[in-house]
Amino acid sequence: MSKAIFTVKDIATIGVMVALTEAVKWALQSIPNVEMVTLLFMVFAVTYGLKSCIVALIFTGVETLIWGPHIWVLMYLYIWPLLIVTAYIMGKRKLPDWCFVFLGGFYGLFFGMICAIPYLFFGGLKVAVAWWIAGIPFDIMHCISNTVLALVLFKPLRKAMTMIIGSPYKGGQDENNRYTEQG
Amino acid sequence: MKTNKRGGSKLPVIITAAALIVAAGVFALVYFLNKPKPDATAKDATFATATTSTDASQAQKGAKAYTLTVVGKDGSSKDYAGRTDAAYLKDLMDDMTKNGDFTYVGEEGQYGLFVTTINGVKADFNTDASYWAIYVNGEYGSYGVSEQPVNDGDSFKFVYETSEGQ
Repeated sequence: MSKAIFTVKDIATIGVMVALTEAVKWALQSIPNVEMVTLLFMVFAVTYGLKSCIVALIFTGVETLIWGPHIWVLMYLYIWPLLIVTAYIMGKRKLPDWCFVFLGGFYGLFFGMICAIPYLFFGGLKVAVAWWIAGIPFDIMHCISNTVLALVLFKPLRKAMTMIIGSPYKGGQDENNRYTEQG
Repeated sequence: MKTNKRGGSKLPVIITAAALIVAAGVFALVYFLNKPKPDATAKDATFATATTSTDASQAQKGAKAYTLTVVGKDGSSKDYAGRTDAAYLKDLMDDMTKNGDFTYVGEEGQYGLFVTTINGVKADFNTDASYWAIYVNGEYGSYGVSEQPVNDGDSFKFVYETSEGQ
């Protein structure tokens, strides 16, 4: 870590990734719980590595600027980095692509449950559980849409992103999992 | 699936898919077991017509999630949560009234509707300086119920409070 953590290339890459995520989010805004943010973050995680968490945090910041601060800001601060770390570890263990399809599916299904965590502090267990249960139909929709989108798009997007960015796991000549290496 | 390069067995895919479907099924079951029944109480039936019971079920299907807590005079609290399409807090309260276990009374005033009674508990500022305070997402509310917008994920709280200085 003696070198700069973020290179100029990193800054540009992160900027483009945030813009892409934001654009895709807006494009699908009108359809409830159909989103490609989960898919993109999984792809980012296995191509750009843990630095994608920065993309998630800036994305959350941009969303906050657009929509104003709210309880979901708290949710976004942990839910996206959690997804990225999970996908990153799965990629590191060389799990096949279909595993990511189900990661997306399970993430959609459990999205409401994971999002309910702040309500434990704002209203207690009862409120958190009631809030989660009330949203289950949306979570199931989210699960279906995430699975279908990942099934169709994860593999080609990962391939394309690997061509552009590379892999965080075996960068260039180095076989060690140095995700900062970018061939 | 063709993505199985190693081992060649489709079994892990099938097992994972089955697990996902079972999990979704369990979630759906939890939802339906806890679903509020639109025409549950007899008390509701005295006020509600046939159309309001459908309104009540629609209140659960809205685009915005909300939670609402009522903290009464004795400090006891009652929690509500669901989804709504209501634009303003007053509309949400009207929807909740149709569900049967929430009531309120208000007076139309200079600043919109002024809530005086919630769940049968009346706050009278003129006699004991008490009032129903509105909290939005943990913060003291800046608007009356007619002006307070309802956003996705909002948590509202009505607290019976007494002004100490009076």
